[in-house]
Amino acid sequence: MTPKPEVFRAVAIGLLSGWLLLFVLTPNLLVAGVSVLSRNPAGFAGAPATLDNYRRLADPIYLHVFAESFTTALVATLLCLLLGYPFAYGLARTRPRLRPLLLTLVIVPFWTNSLVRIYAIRGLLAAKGAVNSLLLAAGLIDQPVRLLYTQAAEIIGLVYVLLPFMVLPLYGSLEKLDPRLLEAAQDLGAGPFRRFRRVVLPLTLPGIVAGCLLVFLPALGLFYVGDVLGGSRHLLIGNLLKDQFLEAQDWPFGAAASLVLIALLLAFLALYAVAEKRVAATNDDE
Amino acid sequence: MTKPPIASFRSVSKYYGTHCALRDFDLDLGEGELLTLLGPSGCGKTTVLRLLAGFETPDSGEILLDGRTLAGVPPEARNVNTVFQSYALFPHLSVFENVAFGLRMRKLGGAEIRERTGSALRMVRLEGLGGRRPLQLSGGQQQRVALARALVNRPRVLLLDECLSALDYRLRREMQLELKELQRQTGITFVFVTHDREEALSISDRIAVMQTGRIEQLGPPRDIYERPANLFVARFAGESNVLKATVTGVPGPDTLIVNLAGTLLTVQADRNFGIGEKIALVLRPEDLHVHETPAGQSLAGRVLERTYRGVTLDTLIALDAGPRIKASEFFREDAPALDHPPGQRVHVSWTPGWEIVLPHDAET
Amino acid sequence: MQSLGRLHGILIYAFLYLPMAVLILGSFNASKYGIGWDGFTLDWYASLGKDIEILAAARNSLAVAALSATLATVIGTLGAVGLQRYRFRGRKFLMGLLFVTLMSPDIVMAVSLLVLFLGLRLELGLFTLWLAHTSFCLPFVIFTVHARLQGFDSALIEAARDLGAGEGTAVRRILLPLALPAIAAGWLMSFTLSLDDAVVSFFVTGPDFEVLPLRIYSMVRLGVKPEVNALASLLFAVSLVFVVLAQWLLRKERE
Repeated sequence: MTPKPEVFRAVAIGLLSGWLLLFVLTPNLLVAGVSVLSRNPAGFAGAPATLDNYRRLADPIYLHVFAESFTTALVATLLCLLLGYPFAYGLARTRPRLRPLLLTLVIVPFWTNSLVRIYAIRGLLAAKGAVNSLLLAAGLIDQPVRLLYTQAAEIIGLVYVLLPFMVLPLYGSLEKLDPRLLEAAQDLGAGPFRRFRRVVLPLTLPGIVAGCLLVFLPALGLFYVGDVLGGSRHLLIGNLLKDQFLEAQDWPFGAAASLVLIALLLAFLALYAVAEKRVAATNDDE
Repeated sequence: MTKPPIASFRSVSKYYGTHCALRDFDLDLGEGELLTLLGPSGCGKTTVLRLLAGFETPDSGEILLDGRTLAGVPPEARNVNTVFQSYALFPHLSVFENVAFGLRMRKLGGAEIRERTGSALRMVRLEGLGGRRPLQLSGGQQQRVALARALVNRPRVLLLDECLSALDYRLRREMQLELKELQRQTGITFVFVTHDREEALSISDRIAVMQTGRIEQLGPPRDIYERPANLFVARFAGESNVLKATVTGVPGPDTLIVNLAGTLLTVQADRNFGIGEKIALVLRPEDLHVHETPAGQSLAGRVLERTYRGVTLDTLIALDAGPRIKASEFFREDAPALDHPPGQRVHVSWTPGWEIVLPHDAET
Repeated sequence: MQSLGRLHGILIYAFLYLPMAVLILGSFNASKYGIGWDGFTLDWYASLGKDIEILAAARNSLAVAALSATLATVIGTLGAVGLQRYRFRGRKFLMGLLFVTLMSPDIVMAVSLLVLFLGLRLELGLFTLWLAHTSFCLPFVIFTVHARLQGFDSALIEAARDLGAGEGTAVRRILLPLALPAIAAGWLMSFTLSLDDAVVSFFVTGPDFEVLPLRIYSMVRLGVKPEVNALASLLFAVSLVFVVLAQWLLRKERE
């Protein structure tokens, strides 16, 4: 009597699958394909197939960019983790009545334009910005210190922009943590350090991995952090990609660099899957 | 049944993967009866409901409603309604709109919808609560909304899936009576699924006791309890002491002499057994009497434990013959000597003919 | 220990909000260079309204955000219902793909979509922005709506069909109204996401179609103008309103 369910089902699933195949899977496969082609001024990329682009990534100039970008991103990620973990822990343990408000206060910057936020940080760090003005007024310094266009500025900017991306997944896994588990561990004689190491840490590992993924990878790619806070002295992989694709028009090389990010993404996701599976297995045991 | 059945299952089988939920299942539902499917979880009773409602399709066999096959008929086109275990009330609609949902789907006029919904709500004593949201009601009230929502459509068959199991004991008793009353008022055929034997025994016209996708016995509650077809039914329909014995003599029709580990007993059986055949003797705890002196045909033993249960006093006795049996005796003014201390030698007797004799199944 | 944790929390909130507060304050500061407080002014906002390029970028941004949020919400809601209601081959793969999309850094998506669009010989502009923004909004809508659907009693749809509703009617009358707050929240989040995106837009738009974040980017690179403070404050205000609204919707439905 009704062929409708079939139509609805086909439309619902077909639209989504079609979209994801065309705009997520295909583009990434294209990038992978382009990365093993040669540069071709007429059509962006073409024959012959080559691994030269990957070889060029090891060139000292680019190796330097990679090394610097990785260091910056790594430091930013660790800072986010160190600042974010106790913060998320406290958030998960606040009174339920207060929690929605506090959580929203973290979510708002998560959704706010990161360029705007980078710009706000720049305002603080500028030679005539708020930080220098404060320090001068307090008599701590005689003349403005150089804060902008340093690696430190980049790191501060990245932490500022990406901290909510660390806090939210951490909060997610900390909130699920049953406080009775800690009481049980305490009851069985575990001190605060061992409670954390043996109970809290393993159970919140998926949140840690997800948070690090959401901070580390964007930290490599947010090219305007490098532009706005680092001047052009400190480049991120994002700047490299932007130059290769939009200025130098060297797609194959840009694609190879981009594939490094994709590989990192997949590695992180695999790690996440393992951590998540372990936690899920513990839940089943209960 | 003289009238043709309302609905029939004709050798219906249903598999979930390799698990067989129903095996060659046959069942006829009579006009206006309250039939209960009783069985442990996983016995296939809910599958029967889901097949009739149309949420599942049989892998083989046929289901008929009013003589017409239901093959290919989607749930919305079947004149059958369900009261779900979770009630499944639409949380975003008012009580009134919940009840009116089925009528609106049939595109009835506003006046008729108001009239029928109003009377359905009156029937379940919820008049005046039509404007509430389901989550503002108590569990018992939600249950009644679910009933009204199904009954308002005047289905040929009403399916009730463990729908009392979420209620507390007292409320459940009340609702059982109410269900029975509603069924009488409306004359609609009810198929009720439960794993609670007391519930099944107290409300049903007929009970189908199910196990692993098959009906073990189908009959009125009294038959199920007093004349179980096999040990599974005997055990599931009520508390039972099961004793193994061997037939040593057949002195007359329906009478056997059996040997229970050395004690010879004369028992009534409603089927034929041959000499030497193994039987299971089923004694209901509440049929047993405990005496300190021998009284007629009885089994000797020693008291192990006593449990005070308010209405009854339960005594656990180790028979000299080996097995342990339980007796539940009601307190009576004229029988002060119910209380036998542990270790006391006692004799257990019962009214002749109240014993149940069954073939000795492999499972025991 | 506890008060130390509280202090840490307060410092983090200060860190998250002080720079924005200074920026917003600066947007009302009459001083052109933001040194010291020269009095309250709305001049910078007024001059935004006279800047033809900014107005055009704003119009473009709003158009892209509205189009992308709407398309992502339509496809995402249908997809979430499909993923929830049906078991089909490739379902796990789709879920995985969505998760990867959700987690991938903007720049990876930006590069790959640029390659695709130019490979398809599409002209970079409104259309390519629309496609790109819809793509990165999609997982947010799906996961929001799917989480909501997951919370329902699966018997609700069966109950509707039992009472005579076809599959389509059941979805329309029961599932969609119940998921409506999540759907609306998904739209609001997508709108902000699109409005705020700079990375993907930077790659997939053409020179003739500028959006607000890119306008801010070039203004910042050309040197600080007080108008940027005003524009950034406005964008922040829009995000704030939309996000708080979305959060409110999601919280309300849980009660």
